[in-house]
Amino acid sequence: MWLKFVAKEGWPVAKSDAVLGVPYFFACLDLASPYGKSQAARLVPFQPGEEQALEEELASLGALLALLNDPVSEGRLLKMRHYLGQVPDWREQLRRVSVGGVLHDAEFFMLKQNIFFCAAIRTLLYSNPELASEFAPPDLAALSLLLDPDQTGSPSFYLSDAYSPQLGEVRSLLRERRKKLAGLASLEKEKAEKTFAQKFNLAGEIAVPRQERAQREILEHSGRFVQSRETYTEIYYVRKATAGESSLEAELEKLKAMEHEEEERVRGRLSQEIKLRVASLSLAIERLARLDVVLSKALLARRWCATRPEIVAYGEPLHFTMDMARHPQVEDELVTRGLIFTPTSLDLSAGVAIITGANMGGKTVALRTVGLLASLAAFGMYVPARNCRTSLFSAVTMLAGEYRAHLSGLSRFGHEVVNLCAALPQPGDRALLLIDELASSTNPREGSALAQAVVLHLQCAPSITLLTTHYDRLAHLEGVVHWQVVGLSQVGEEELREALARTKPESLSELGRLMDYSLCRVAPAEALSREAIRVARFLGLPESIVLQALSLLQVKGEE
Amino acid sequence: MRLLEIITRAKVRSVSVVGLAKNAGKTVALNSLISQAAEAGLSLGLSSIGYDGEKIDLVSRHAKPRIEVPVGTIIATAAGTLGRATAALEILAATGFVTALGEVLLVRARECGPVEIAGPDSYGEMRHCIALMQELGCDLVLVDGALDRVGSASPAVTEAAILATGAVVGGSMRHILTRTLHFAALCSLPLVPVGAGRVAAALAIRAGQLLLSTSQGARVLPFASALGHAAAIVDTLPRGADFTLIVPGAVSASLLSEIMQRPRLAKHTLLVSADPTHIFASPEIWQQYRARGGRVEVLEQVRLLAVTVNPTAPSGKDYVPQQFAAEVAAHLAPIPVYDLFASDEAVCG
Repeated sequence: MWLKFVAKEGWPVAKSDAVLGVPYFFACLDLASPYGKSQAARLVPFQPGEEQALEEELASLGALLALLNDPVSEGRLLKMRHYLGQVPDWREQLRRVSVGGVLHDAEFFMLKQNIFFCAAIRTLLYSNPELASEFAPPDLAALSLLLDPDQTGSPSFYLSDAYSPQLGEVRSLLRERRKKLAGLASLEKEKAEKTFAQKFNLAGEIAVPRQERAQREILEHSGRFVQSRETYTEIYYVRKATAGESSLEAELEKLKAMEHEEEERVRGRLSQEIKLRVASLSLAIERLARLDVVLSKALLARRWCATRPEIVAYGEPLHFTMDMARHPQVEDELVTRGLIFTPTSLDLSAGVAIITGANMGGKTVALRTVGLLASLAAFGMYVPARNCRTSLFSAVTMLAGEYRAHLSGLSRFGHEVVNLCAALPQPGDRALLLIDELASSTNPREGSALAQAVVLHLQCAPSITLLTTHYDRLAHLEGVVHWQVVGLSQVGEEELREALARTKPESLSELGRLMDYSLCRVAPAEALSREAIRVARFLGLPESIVLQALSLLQVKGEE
Repeated sequence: MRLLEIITRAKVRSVSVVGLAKNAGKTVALNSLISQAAEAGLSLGLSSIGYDGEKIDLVSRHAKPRIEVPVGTIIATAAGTLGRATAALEILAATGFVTALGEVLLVRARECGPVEIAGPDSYGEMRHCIALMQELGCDLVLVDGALDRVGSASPAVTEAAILATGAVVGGSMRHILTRTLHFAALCSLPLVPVGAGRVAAALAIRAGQLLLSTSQGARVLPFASALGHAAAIVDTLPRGADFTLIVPGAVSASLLSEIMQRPRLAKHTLLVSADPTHIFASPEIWQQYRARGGRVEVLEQVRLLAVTVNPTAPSGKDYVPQQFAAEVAAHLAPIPVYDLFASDEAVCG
């Protein structure tokens, strides 16, 4: 599996794609059809070696995106999307019919709807012939004719007489006999009313008051009535059917049974005919699904102002570059709070790079952005960045401190180690490994040693590892690329004091305003910025504690 | 005058037939209307509303009412009922509304015969189905209201209603009359007068806000509805001064009871509801509330066109048909009353 589960069986599963924001991408896709939804759920990222196929996928997306810029083509594409939203899911019926099942009328109607929307989408697609070859469902005219034998052109479905001469004959006989029976019944009713001087009610009953014994006896002994019900005051009689009526009724029953049988035969025959075209129908469903997925990607790419990622060829060394990249999930959350996302730029090559800098400076978001962009590209999606160049990775894994350690029964450190073991790339893996605050949950001395050892191990792997850390020594390891969040380093003391004077809760948004979230590459051995105390002061830590910390830091420094 | 003539004279295009109880004669009324409409050459639409399988026999899983339809009738019914219809049906469209018996489809009877109807579950969906049937050319849409549910009579769903009542509704003539007259009285509750107050009430009800209006001004009370919060709502009401409480959703018996439990509160109270089908109070509680000076106004009334009676009950309780119908008619005048078991002409009270 490409997106690794970074916990062994039995441990709580912490999916790194959730941390990266991949599910958010799928939720934003907002697919229109049941077919598209199902195909999107089965999407797997392109693997190293499949770069050519990925390029083709991106080209398809690019073609739709270009058409969305033209108002006429955009209108057509949005119409197609509307039709896709109307298509009823017919996969279960397809499965049943392919194993010899017999469909019922509502299912034939649903198929007719599928055929109708396929034809409508096909027509629209052929307005842009370059799209037709890739997305157009096959011509289902023969099936359409099968379900509309009277060629009415109506989207409705009816087991028409045209399906079978016998059906037409039986129905015609039924109509004729029904009419005859109604006429006969009406005649007999009139005769009975005259003979017995009684009126039938609307339910076809004669109500005789209980005290009218003579009248009741006349009816009862006539042999032409039978008691249907009684109340405290009245007894109700219904007319017995005459021999002629009974014979007609029996004939009607027989005819109804014949009609039912013939209808079933027609349904069976239709289902058989459809079975012969299962391949075309499957292809149509596949094409509709693909159109839905790629069109949804294009619409999302437009909404995200995303660009086509450049894919590094398989033979070239691993590489990842992003310029002015955004994380849409974080960006959307910020927008709802009235804040603006600061785009990030970064480039990485095989080996280990670290991000250091101020707390709350966006280091984790930078990691998530790297992972998300690499994942989106691998899913054949444009990426929210001005530019992005990426290799295809065999796995994109992020280890983040926010995994639900408390649910595992392990300490945070224990959980981190277990996850790390599962995530360490195997020899030959072309992985992208993102680690947030490596070994930060144990004592700093051992934590730092562990972190250094892990980095040294990862430097030998043919993968890219990016990690955030507060350990100085990692920056001094040879070959480690060092990125730093600009943070508060450019903010003068005066400005910081002014900001501090503002009252809470403004201070948090004020912190966001002052913080520079961009990354800059620094010399490997450059000292890590010390901004934790400034940030803590911003967040309201009592001044006495802040001063104490500063003085302790000075003593330590002198030591 | 026959029942259909009442409808055509009222110039309404959708009518719900609601019953005060099971076996009150709803299906008889519907079948009578259907045959009269067929005679008159009207293009007919039919559906039924049901919640929680009320339309479905839980043992047999069969939709219960079997209604005879003439050729051309358009029916909104769940896919699962099609196989059980004797009438040959053409499927015209799918509505997207799903019920326990499958998606609600619009079908046309190509041959006459009995059909089973299980329409959409909610009143909003029913409104949509009615509009679709009217688009398909129906001159008149009849809605079979669910058992003990009068919501389909809401003017938000159908334009007018016919009530089916009968011996099954109560243990005595007095009880039957009380329940029937109570329903009729609710139908003609006074309307909120045209003006700013009516606009404010309509907006609050649409937004689902419980709005309290006094001479000091108006404020929204922090409750989603009156259900389950009656005592807390009544605690916030002013004392000794007139006020209007606009209630979205149900005006429940417990709300009226809580108001009546506070000394002299009812006489200052004016409740405003969307329409009479939202008032769920027994005749007794309603009478007490009114006797204490409590008032209720509605944004829209229910246009009750006629009442049908069934003088017999399956339990064996029954009345002399002519006397029963005449007594109901005498109390309901000028609303026409029909005993469709006996005749399709109105009964003289």
